[in-house]
Amino acid sequence: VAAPSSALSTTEAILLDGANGVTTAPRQHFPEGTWFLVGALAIALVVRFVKKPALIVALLALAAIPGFVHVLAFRADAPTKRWSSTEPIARTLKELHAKAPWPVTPVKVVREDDELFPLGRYAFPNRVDVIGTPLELELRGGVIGAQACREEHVRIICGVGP
Amino acid sequence: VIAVLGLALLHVGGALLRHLLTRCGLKVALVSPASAWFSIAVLYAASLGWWGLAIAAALIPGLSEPVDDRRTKDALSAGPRRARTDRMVMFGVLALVVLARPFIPTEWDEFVWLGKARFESLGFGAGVTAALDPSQNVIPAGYPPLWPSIVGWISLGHDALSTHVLAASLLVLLCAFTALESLSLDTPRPWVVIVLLSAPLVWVHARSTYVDLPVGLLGLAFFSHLRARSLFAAGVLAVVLAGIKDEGLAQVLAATAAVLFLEGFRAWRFVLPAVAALTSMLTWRWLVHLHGIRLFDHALGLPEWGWLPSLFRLFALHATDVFSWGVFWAVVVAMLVTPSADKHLRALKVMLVLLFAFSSAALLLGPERVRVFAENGTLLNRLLLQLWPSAALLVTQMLPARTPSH
Repeated sequence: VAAPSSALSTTEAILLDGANGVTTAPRQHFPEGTWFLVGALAIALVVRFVKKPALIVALLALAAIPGFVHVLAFRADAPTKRWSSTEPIARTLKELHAKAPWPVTPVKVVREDDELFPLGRYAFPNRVDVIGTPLELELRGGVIGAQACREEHVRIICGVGP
Repeated sequence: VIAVLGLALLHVGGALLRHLLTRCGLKVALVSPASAWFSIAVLYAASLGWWGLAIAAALIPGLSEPVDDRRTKDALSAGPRRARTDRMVMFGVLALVVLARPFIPTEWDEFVWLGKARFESLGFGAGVTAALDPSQNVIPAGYPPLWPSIVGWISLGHDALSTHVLAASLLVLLCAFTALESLSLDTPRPWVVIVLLSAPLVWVHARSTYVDLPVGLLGLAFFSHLRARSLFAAGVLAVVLAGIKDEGLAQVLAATAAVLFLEGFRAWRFVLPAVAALTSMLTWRWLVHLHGIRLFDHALGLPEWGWLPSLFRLFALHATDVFSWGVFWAVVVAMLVTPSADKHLRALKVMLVLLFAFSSAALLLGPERVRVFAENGTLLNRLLLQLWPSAALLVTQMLPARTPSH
């Protein structure tokens, strides 16, 4: 089954929004929000007056199924996909460490695009002013691990992008 | 192996401290997950230098009412044999869910938190020193430093990605175990499991190293310890909560108000742990101010009343997103408006409502930046995660009470 468009199906999507919701719904301002809100109000009313706890438990279980389909199958961090989706992250961090090990080799970060910003913050958690001609670092967004980190003069460039 | 050893050292050290400082038996202290927080609180105070003495001083009054062995044993880590077996099974399943993952971070804040844990490889307390040095440009500026510091301590200063992730995952697990050991439930176990699994986003966070779920879990543990009159242990948890995140203080204040509601407002001793938490938070804020660090996200101003309708709309949309929450929050709302004769349940409701009020106040009083985060969908679900442990307990506690025989 193909993942729906609302799925966080890439490593980059998980990096940006994986913790903010199970799908892209919060970032997309909840396109189905009105329907869910009406449904939730109806369920709250039913639960308020129903005297059968087993029914409430069944409602809780059934309603969790769509989310768990995403969590266990569609998301890039689903258990079966997580090993492959974390590989580019591990590789990029390893390359960064090889080119400029922290804190031995301080760098001046001159560009940090969103997709690689967090990786840069792990690789270089502080940003002190470097005396002399510093080694410069560019973290170009797009696709994580698409291209190996490379050196151009005094600049390390990781990632692809203009 | 290093991270497991690090946590074991923290736990044994904490159990010894707990045994020495309270009347808790050594055996009980050794089997109780909450003991690890004793050494963590001491290390936190030490990492702040002389200013840490303020935190130590704030904890001392809590020693005046130590709980005896029997009460600790009954209220916390032991109980009937069936409950013990249930607890062990839940611990095992939870450990499997949390730890069965590659030890590589995947989500935004994980990298930031774990990056800051790397400072501890430079020396004990280096994370605090870096956070208080504006020239180091550590982000987010002025944030409470404890969570990454603990990860660094559990890693025993070993600077490796997999060690940091395992250390942080073990820390998440410790928070979950601390919350679980403090609860005793009469609800049928399959129902409890379904309630715990009814919000898919909780599963996502249990397998990450974000701090929101742990703050909620520790808040629940704090509530249970305070209710069990274990004031010193509650004080330790309160200090840790305020050291981990500013929202930790909200958990402490909400739980304290709930217990005062339960015990009567003359029971002033229950306020002592909250005083320790306030001291912890104010000490850190004072250090931040002293070192000229500018607070961005957690500076408070005048309320933005005009944004109130947006706040309610956004909370409603986030809470009813079926993919992230199923119908969990709809059920919680129904439980909140259902009258309950049990005073403990009413106290839990007070805590939950106050937590929601504090979260809303932080958004209304905070800088424009936090409201932008809320509008962009990167904040409110994480605030709801902080409320989830208390809400899940409310649901599990109220389910049996809804059978016709009750």
